[in-house]
Amino acid sequence: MKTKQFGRRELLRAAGATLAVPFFLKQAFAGAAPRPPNLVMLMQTNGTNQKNYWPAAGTFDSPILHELLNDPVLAAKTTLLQNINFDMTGGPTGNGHDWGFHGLYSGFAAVNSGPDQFGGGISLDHVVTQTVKLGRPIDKLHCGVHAVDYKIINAGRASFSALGPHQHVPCELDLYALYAKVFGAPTADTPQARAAAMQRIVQKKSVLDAVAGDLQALQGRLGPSEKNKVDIHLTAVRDFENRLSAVIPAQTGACAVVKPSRTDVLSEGQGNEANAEALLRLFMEFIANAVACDMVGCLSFQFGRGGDHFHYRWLDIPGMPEDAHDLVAHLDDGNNPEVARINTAIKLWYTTLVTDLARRLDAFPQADGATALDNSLVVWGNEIATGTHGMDKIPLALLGKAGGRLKKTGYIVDSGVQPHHRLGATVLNIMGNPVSGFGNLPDCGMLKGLELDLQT
Amino acid sequence: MMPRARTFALAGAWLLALLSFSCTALVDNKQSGASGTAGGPNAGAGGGPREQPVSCLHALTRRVRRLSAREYLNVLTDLLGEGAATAAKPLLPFEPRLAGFDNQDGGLLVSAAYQEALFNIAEKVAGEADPAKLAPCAAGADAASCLSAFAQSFARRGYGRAPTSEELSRLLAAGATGTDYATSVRLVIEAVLQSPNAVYATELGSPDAGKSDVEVTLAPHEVATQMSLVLTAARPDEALLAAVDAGQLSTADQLRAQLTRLLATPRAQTQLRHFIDGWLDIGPVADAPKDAPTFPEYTPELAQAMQQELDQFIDAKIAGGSGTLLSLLTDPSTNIPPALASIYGASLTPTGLDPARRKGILSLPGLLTYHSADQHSGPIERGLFVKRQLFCQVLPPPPASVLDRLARMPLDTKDKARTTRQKYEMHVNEPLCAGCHDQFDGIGFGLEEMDALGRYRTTENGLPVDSNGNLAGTDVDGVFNGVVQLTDKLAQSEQIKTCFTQHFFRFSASRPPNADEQCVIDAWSKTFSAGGTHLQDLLTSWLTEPRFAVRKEDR
Repeated sequence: MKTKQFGRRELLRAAGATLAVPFFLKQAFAGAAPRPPNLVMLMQTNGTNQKNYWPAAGTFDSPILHELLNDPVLAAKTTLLQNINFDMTGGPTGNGHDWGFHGLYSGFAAVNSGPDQFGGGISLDHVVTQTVKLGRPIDKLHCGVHAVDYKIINAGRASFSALGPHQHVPCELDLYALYAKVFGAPTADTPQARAAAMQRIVQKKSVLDAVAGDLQALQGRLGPSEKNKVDIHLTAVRDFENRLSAVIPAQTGACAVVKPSRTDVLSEGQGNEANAEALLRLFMEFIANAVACDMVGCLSFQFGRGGDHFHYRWLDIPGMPEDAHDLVAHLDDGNNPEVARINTAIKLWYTTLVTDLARRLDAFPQADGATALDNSLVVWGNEIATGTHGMDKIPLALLGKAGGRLKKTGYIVDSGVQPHHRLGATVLNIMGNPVSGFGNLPDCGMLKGLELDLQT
Repeated sequence: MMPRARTFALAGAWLLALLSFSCTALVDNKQSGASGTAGGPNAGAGGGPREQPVSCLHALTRRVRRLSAREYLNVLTDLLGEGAATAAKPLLPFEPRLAGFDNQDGGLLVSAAYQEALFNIAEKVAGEADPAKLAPCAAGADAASCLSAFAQSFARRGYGRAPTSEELSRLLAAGATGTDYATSVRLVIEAVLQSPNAVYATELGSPDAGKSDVEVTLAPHEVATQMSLVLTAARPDEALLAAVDAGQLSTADQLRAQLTRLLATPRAQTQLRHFIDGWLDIGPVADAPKDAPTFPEYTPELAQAMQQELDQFIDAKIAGGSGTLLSLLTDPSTNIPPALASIYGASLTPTGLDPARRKGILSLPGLLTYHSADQHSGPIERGLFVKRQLFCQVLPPPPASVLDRLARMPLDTKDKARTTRQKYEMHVNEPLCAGCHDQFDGIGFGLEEMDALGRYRTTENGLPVDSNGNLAGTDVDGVFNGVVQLTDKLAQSEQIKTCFTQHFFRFSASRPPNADEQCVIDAWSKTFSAGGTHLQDLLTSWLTEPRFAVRKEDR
């Protein structure tokens, strides 16, 4: 069993008003730009059963999405994006899993690195945090669940987050470390404890200053290509130093003390599918907490590795074969009712996870009277459209109202076939970056059929 | 499982089956046509300076490479003991291997999550360190002097060189915020462990190397670090640092002496095993997926025994670098864990393994288990493994149309009326499939005598097993039957040796070779082959390569 330590925020909170110009407050009062919504990007794998995913004509419900859309409140805050096809510009390498896993949220074509495929450019999560002032204590997190009893068959499918071609950013797997990072329990309530915490900040900053000094010295010796590596490193150090020095407003209510509902689930490492179900549920809870408490501006999550090989034994689906990837997803071309039944049952389970996330967010009132779901943009995508590696009609849904920037929700957007790049361009515009395109389609425009209010 | 479900229980590998386009296997590196200019790296074994014939290796661009997690943990061990590395390991983010290796420059960044991990590790292990032991300061001594002395010595091991005066000043400034001596020591530890000087290996040349020069030469400490990382996955040890300080790391003899010394260390054995694992694209045997109902005997204990045999076999054959590729390929396993008796069955005789059935690393249950499918022997996977890893041939993934075809024409891998081979032999009769599958199916078919757990068999589903195989598109083409005959053919292949050398290049350079570096690989391979495929020859070729310490100016 993992031992947990929730200590980081002790010093953050204890620092209180004693710091000169707190980072968070600077952010909060910087300029007059509207505050962007919280962004959550979810990546599911292995496609869906198309027939059972999309609502029939004239309806807003479907077998796979039933739990979400059968809830009138959540349905009213859900927008389905139909006819979004994966655009092959750039000639991505690998197969459909790689194309979508690396391309859906980057707009760049997957590239080879030896026998494996990696992202071909910067992914949306990084573009957002590099171009938009999010104003949260933590700009971004990329996390997920890898607990699967299957050897790694493609190294690149471990993470879809990338800073550039081949520059993958690891997926954070340790749930409890993430809680420690985001929700360290505030215990420095006495003057002595606050003084000790302040002292610690000073000391840790001095350490990070030394590190930054070494990095700057190294930067001066490098040519352009290598300098980029060190730039990324230096940015990481400075961002961390800012976080360390930030003053987090005292949290009240449900955000005063936030802990995982279970603390007995191993969260690190590979090859442990026995923990997958519990971890996935706990991560939904974590994402809801992190977003609802306004601690993370951009949170991306992957429900496993790309092209995952979960066995889903916990679902106890009658007739379920041993390998859902090979023996269910790959066979579900829509013509085999038995395969469709099993695949639908699997995908339906993912809907219960996402519904749980949405429900948690919607149960969380925020200062402006709206709910955390109202003030968030949750993008729920899938690397491929069908288990047979079909790339047309990627299952895509937006949850939440993005702080009012999604003017109309609770319907299906269908303005004909549109390239997936428009999703990224739309998200960036909603977040406050007025781009005209995304990835390797710089002029693709935004999704047609969405009603937006970008002045909110 | 319901009867209906059985009808579509398919082989995972079947996705590789129905290729609807022609495919041509390419060797994973372009021929440069510039070979023959290298001067035989092992030639000229005299003790003179590193003046050798001009190499065809183009100077690499100056770079910094982040240490892999394994390398960083070894640095921690050297600085603070194994306990520190044990504490740090779970805090590092999971990073996948690239092309089998964990040290590839392209995959190693310090992202925000990684920086946070470094911070947490530094804070944790510094907090657990004992300043009184690490940095003793006698009563009455000047604490500032003690701290400075400690910072210099600690940074020297962490950086693989002495810190500059500016670096030392920064360390001491961090230490100065401590409220007592012990805290100051801990803060210095934290600063060293997060410093880019500890986190990266530099290949930049001396700081004052001329900016206008076309090329620069690595600083002696950088040469030592390159050597140490490749041979031991760690920073230079004290003996190597002393050699650098004494200016004794410049001649070929001096380099060879250090090479020989380091190869005798336990870390070198582990490191070379990592290289072999990468060459074979093999991870932990326990990660090999096996269908539990089909293979209930595949227990964690069995997987562990397979791993043990595999590791011990590799260690024995590498023998600190004095072993050979040929011995890896052709020697029988001799150290067999009792738990594998049921796997070897009749192949295990009182005098050892039956040489007619088992020979070399390809016949080990661990490797056969890893490179097979979850429900069957995986002839397609095995064929692809041989072509990709042993011959360095590039074979494209199947096109998307394969899966549509697969969904329409399911193949029941649990069909008890046919052997695995019979189920896949339709590739031969399907022109759409044959274009690619002709290149590797024949290899996998020839290994059908070994099931998914590496057990020898003569029947499957009550039917006779056909292990007649065929190698095509190689320099040892022809028919064979079973793993022993395949091994005999592979042992004759020059392409195998060149491919092995190519993997070694990638491992030693921490990056893939450029197209115009094939001449280096060819030259190294020539020496490697002529000398009897000793791994040590490859290491010597790399270390004494005339361009080893030269980098292209990039500023």
